[in-house]
Amino acid sequence: MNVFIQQLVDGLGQGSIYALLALSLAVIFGVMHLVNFAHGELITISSYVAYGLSTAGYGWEIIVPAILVTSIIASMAIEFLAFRWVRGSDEFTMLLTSFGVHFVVSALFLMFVSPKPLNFPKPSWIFNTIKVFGINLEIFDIITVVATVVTLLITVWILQKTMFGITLRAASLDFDAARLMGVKSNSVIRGAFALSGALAGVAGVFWLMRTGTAKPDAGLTPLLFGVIAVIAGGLESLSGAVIGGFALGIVQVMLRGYLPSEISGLTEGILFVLLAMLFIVRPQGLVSVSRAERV
Amino acid sequence: MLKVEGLTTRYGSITGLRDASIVVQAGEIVGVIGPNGAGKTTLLNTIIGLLKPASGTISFDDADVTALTPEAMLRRGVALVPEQRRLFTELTVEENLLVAGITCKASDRHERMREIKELFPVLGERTTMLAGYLSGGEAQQLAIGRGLMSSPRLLLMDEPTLGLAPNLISTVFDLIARLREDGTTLLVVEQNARRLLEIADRVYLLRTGNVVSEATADAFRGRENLFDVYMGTSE
Amino acid sequence: MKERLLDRWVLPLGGQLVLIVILVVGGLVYAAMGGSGRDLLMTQMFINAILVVGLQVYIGNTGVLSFGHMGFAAIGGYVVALLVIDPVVKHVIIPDAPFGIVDIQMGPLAATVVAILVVVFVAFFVGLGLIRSVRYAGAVAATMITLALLFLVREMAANFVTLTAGNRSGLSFGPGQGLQGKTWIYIGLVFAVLVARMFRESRLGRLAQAMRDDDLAARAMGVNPAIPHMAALLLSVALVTVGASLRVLSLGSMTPNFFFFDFTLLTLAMLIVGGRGSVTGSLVGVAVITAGTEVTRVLAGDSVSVPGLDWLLRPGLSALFLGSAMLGFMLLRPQGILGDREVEDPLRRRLRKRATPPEPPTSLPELGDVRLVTHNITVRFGGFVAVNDVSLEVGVGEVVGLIGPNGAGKTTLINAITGVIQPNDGTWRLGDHDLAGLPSFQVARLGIARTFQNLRLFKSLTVRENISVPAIVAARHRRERTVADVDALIFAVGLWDDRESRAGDINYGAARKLELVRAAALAPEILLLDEPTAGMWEADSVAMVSQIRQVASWIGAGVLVIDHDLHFITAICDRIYVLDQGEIIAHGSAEEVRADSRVQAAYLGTDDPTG
Repeated sequence: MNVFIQQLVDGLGQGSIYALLALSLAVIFGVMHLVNFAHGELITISSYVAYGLSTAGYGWEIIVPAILVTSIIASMAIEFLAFRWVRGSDEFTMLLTSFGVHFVVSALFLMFVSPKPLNFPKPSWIFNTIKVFGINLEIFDIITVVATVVTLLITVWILQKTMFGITLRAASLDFDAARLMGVKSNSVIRGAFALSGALAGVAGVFWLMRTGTAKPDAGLTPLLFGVIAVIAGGLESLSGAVIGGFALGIVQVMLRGYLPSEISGLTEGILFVLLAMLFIVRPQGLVSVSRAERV
Repeated sequence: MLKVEGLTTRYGSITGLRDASIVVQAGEIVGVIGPNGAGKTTLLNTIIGLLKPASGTISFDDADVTALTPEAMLRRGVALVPEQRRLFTELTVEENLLVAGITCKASDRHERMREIKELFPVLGERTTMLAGYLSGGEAQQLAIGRGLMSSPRLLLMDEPTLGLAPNLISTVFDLIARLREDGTTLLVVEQNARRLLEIADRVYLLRTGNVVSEATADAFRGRENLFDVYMGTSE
Repeated sequence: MKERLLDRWVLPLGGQLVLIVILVVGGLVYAAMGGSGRDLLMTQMFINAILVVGLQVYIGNTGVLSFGHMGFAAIGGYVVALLVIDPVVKHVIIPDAPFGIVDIQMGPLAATVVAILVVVFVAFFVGLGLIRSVRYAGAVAATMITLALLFLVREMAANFVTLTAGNRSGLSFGPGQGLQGKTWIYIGLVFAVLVARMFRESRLGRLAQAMRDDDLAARAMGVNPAIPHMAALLLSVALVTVGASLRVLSLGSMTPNFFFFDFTLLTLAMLIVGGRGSVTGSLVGVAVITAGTEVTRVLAGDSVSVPGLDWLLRPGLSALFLGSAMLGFMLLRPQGILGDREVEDPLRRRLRKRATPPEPPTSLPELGDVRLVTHNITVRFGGFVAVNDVSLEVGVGEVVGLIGPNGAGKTTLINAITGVIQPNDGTWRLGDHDLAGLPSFQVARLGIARTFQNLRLFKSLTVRENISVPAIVAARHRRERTVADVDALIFAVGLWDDRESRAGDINYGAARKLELVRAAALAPEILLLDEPTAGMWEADSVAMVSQIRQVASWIGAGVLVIDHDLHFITAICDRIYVLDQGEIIAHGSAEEVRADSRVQAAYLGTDDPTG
């Protein structure tokens, strides 16, 4: 039982990062039907900022806000430089555009910074544990989960209570109708990228605390897990993205923990089989938004 | 007030307009009638700036507004109540109104919303209900309420009675008449031609993208063979 | 007959062979001018061409972007490596490998065959998920599944160390165990290119392209959505596995990152830049991108120095080039250099121009009295009753009208009859066949063809190809009533001069006619025409009347025409149903219906608010 709870908390910690990334992808998908592949670049760019600041002698208390700001600015900058020009194109054109951005950004770091991973110190408390009801839990996991919950609550507040959030939801439901009401495409899309950048920034903070590495493709792995989470949850649903993220984290950690060691290498294979089964049974993901067929 | 000249549109398979011209004077109720596929919706969507015309000009208050976005049109005082209402079904009634008030000053928004709720008491009772759960009549009131949030001087309405029960249709027409008394100019696309003719000052008949006829409502109403004119079964 | 041979086989395949010769000779000349590095590069280019052509079979024909093909390639690569490597070597590098694989050894050819079988097996199950996602969650969701496959295969390869030897060492072949010479590469290349080109022209290929352009219309033409998609996927992964096997054998090792993101970018950039729609485009893309990466590699090397630009010429330039090429094409020319044009297109067009107009179509054999009968059909959307208790009948040989104002439920009724939506209540039959619960492609195969109000043509296919889609279905599923000559139909309705034009490029009136003959080519018992004259000029709609009658009499079908234009309906229909607010409010001859006060009220509203 103790082991199970440890695993569960670990899974929630992993899942937090996926959930935040999935949510940030879903926010953008909602307004412009773009699966933003370049989202991992926010973490990549942040990783070099973290490396730079850390080499310059700054601690995490500076690095954390720096990552958040970097992520928001980078997200909006990429929108301004690339996605603005393919707005309204078909989904694959947008997808491949973001794919191109991903490779250009990582190539730039590879060329002008370093092809090799650059390490910076992780926070000192990262491996500390705390005993709760006799169970050893990692402080890092608990902080991740708490910070994620707080971030999600703030996001819910923004979406429900602010004019921007209401507009964003309206535009996700029916972009043309929102324009008819006087919503400006530019401001709602930029706002979506800013919000999305902030969410990715929070995820980036925890990802980078854990890895402590800056490299040209630092954002790739978390991005891919985020993508898996968002499709598992259902591309068009914000709550689905969060659920998908946590589910992915927990399933992944549980598989690692409980598979017999001879076949533990099959974890990702089993994950994919589960995913494929999910799509055969529920192609629209865990939380489905009904798509009416229009004739 | 509004002047549309030689409007022609081309959008793949969507019914286009061919050289359509109409005029709306301040204080009028102008109707646009015609069978499906005549281009009525295209006309309104092009005026508001959701669609771009291939040629032709649109002017409002003597200024050229042909290439403006809906947002700019709203700021100048033109709003559209779209066909099929296009409510944000997963937003509440209040949120729908708030979005429609985005071009208002933030300080005026709630005041304006209060006025709309006075105009449509039922919306006041359903403030926190999701728009998707409203009945047909309530939904239409919300759609019109959204159109009024920006306090437009010219309101474009696209099939405001589509799918409504007869008693509700009367309510909508009464409302249109009342809006005019309050000083709003209206351009109404409607399939319910007879009722529209009762309240409209002038009517344009559209068929396959052309304005085939323009007359005062009285002149239209006087025609014996209105049905055949409408359907194109007699020339 | 000779021309048919030229058109179908000699020109398409000959064109590709010429391209292969140019690619290979160009590559070998470049290799001969330099060292072994160039030879290796060219070998890889030929192999990449196989992989890219394999990708084209899926992406080009189904229109679904796949990131996952390199995941399939990785699976194939591992199978080949695990089977070919000498057991002696395996005992050293993966002594604990499961499944007794350590002691198995096969030749490269046998191993490749096994790899293809394994990959096809995996792809079959992935394909089931893909097909359902495309249908219910959109093509982008399917693409994301392929991405998940790529990623998870790679993660598994990196983590399943006992089998794959993990990230660092990988599976290395012993000396002399890899591929010797290029013969097999050439064979593979010719094979892959010709198969891909043939698939594009094949029946299944055509159906896949129809699905790609408009899946709803394809289903309405009787195409089972799963079959062409799955066929394209399985063929595509088989070709990709051939390429993967050659790549692994020629490089002599296999690691998890071999077929991962960077290689996905490389192959996708080749496909996208060249033009994903055609096999020619794939090969052009391979050449262009290989040349580009080679140039940037040389420029970035130490031997070249360009004053003022040295800050840019450094390692990583090739990656920047690839990313920028992808980005640039997406922003400026998303369809790629060639789009879907093939090298032999100009020759073929000339050949086809020479064709003489066919004889007028011969009428199909007469049918017995088959009737479409709906009984009390009701369709509700939530609380809204769109179609209420509708009963109507159409028999073979009749032309029946269905009119009603906007929002009356006409199109909903047609959708219900054709299985696009399922009614909440009622029965509907065609002759002896109960249609309830059948998917739309089966309704079509039983003999109900339809058109769409807002044109749903297969836009990137030519006029002839559009009509060939239902003709292919009819030849298989409606044998007794196949329209013998597609060309005759085209000629008869006046589309002959447009026959080789893309459906997306022809004018509106022609497109409307094409909708009609496309449905007719299914040789249905009943034709449902949804606003066949919507948006047409008066004169054109008059011409349409005679064409509908003409076409209906050739194929011997009964026709149900939906329209709002009473003028048109009067001219064409024997009797008319009037629908308002989901209910039939009148039924009879045109005169009767026009005089009916309820009909007038439905269209114009009533003066009296209580009535």
